[in-house]
Amino acid sequence: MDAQELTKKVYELVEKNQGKKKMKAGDITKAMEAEGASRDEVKAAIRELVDGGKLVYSYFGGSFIEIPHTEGSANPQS
Amino acid sequence: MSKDVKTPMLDDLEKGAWPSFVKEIKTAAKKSNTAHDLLGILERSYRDKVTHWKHGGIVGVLGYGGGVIGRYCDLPEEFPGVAHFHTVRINPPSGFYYTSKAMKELCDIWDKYGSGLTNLHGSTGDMVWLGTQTDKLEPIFAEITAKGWDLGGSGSCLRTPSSCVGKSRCEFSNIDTMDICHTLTHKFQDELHRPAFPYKFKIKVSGCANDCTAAVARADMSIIGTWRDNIRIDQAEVKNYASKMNIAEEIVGMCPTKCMSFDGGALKINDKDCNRCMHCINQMPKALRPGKEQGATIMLGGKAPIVTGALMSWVIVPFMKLEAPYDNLEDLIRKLWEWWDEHGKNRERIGELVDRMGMRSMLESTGLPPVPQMVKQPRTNPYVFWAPGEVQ
Ligand code: HEM
Ligand code: HEM
Ligand code: SF4
Ligand code: SF4
Repeated sequence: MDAQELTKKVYELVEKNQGKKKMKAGDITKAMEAEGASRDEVKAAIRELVDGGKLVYSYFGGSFIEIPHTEGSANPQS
Repeated sequence: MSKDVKTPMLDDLEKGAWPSFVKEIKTAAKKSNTAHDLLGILERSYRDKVTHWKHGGIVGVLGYGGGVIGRYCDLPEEFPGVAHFHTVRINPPSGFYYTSKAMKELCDIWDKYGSGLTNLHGSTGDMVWLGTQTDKLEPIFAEITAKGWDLGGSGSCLRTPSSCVGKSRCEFSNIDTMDICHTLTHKFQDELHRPAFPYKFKIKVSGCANDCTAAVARADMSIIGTWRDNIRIDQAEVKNYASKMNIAEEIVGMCPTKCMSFDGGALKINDKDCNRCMHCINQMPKALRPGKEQGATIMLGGKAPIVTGALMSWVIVPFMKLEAPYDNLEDLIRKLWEWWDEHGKNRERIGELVDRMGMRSMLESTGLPPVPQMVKQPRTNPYVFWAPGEVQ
């Protein structure tokens, strides 16, 4: 799988789970490893998406990766 | 800013001889709306007997998953100054050495964008800035990085490593704690800023068993300087101490391993039985010094009680030579992280994982040899379980 395709797949995985299951970096890595990507490749893909602002880190008792959305900061965990 | 905030309960905390955080917040409140409303919401929380803080969410600077802890209050209309009250962690220099110029520059940035309230240093080791708003985060980041500073860690990542002053000021140090801390911080930039672990991971480096960073109780990885040859003894200085103190009682009698003897003439140590506790060296620093073959004991698993109870770190490597660039240490840490990533549940610290899965799994995947120093307590389970590969 080339880098561009992997980046797309990572984004789609987060998108599919948005609002249903909070994804940790480790969950994404395991899912992509199952599709043949290496740990470092997944890391690079996540980094590209986060640096580009397409995905963001959030914190809810642990760190997760999400698509940016305003409810996140306006309606934090109480 | 309304000037007439009444805080009878907080005022009570200003009484007494000790310093009071209330006094400091009141001083800051003269200049900062955030500090002013902090007084209001604190008084309100004391009265209501509930916290009015909420935390979490998406807050940070572009690209980083750590360094900012999102905090909000649940009464934003009443206390607009603390509607957002985010904490910013600044990675401090190793050993906490600042020039006064650097300190002033940092404080100026914080006065400009935040409450002016700081905590030097937080339990994480970071310089902690308390109370700012989401729209101030990028400007703060731009200004601190322009001066050569960086954010520290937060969330499920490597937290800002910290160390004691080590060789810069302390003759007891067996390792260059500040260099180790600095080097690891640079090696692990990715792990520090982009949370990818099951939970937090802390590294603290102490130059000797006095453990001034309290690494054993507070760090997932505790690096404690030690030596493996013999304690160096200057018998002439022992004689000087003998005229000022009761060596038999205060030194020999309090040696935890009972490996010393003193007949009024020479002090003898059976170094094979010494556990390098530092007691005798602390008491007679002119007469006794650590040995010359120095390195560190590497310990794993320390943590405070959040998910399960508190754990103290325990030995995983009794003695490791630590010389720059510390590739042996880096290699071990990366193997431990890989094992933890593979098996750890969300919010499970590495010490808890060892407790759950046992030492065997950790030792197998890191390649560390099992040694007697790893034994925390005598075993209570009489059964020995062999892995299939170990049975001929
Ligand atoms: C595959 C079959 C079995 C296995 C693997 C097995 C295994 C064991 C083991 C390892 C012990 C502990 C021995 C010790 O440390 O003292 C034990 C104790 C015991 N077993 Fe079994 N056992 C089996 C079948 C049975 C059967 C069929 C019975 C009874 C009909 C039985 C009754 C007991 C009793 C009463 C004890 C306790 C003895 C004591 O108080 O020390 N076991 N068993
Ligand atoms: C192949 C299946 C099993 C084997 C070989 C096995 C074996 C054993 C052995 C060797 C002991 C220790 C006996 C001793 O201390 O002397 C034990 C204790 C015990 N087992 Fe099992 N067991 C099996 C299945 C089960 C199951 C299915 C249950 C419950 C549903 C069970 C409940 C217990 C309990 C309550 C004890 C006593 C614990 C205590 O001493 O406080 N075991 N078993
Ligand atoms: S831990 Fe040991 S080496 Fe470090 S400052 Fe304390 S006494 Fe000195
Ligand atoms: S360092 Fe501790 S154990 Fe070793 S000789 Fe001194 S007092 Fe005894």
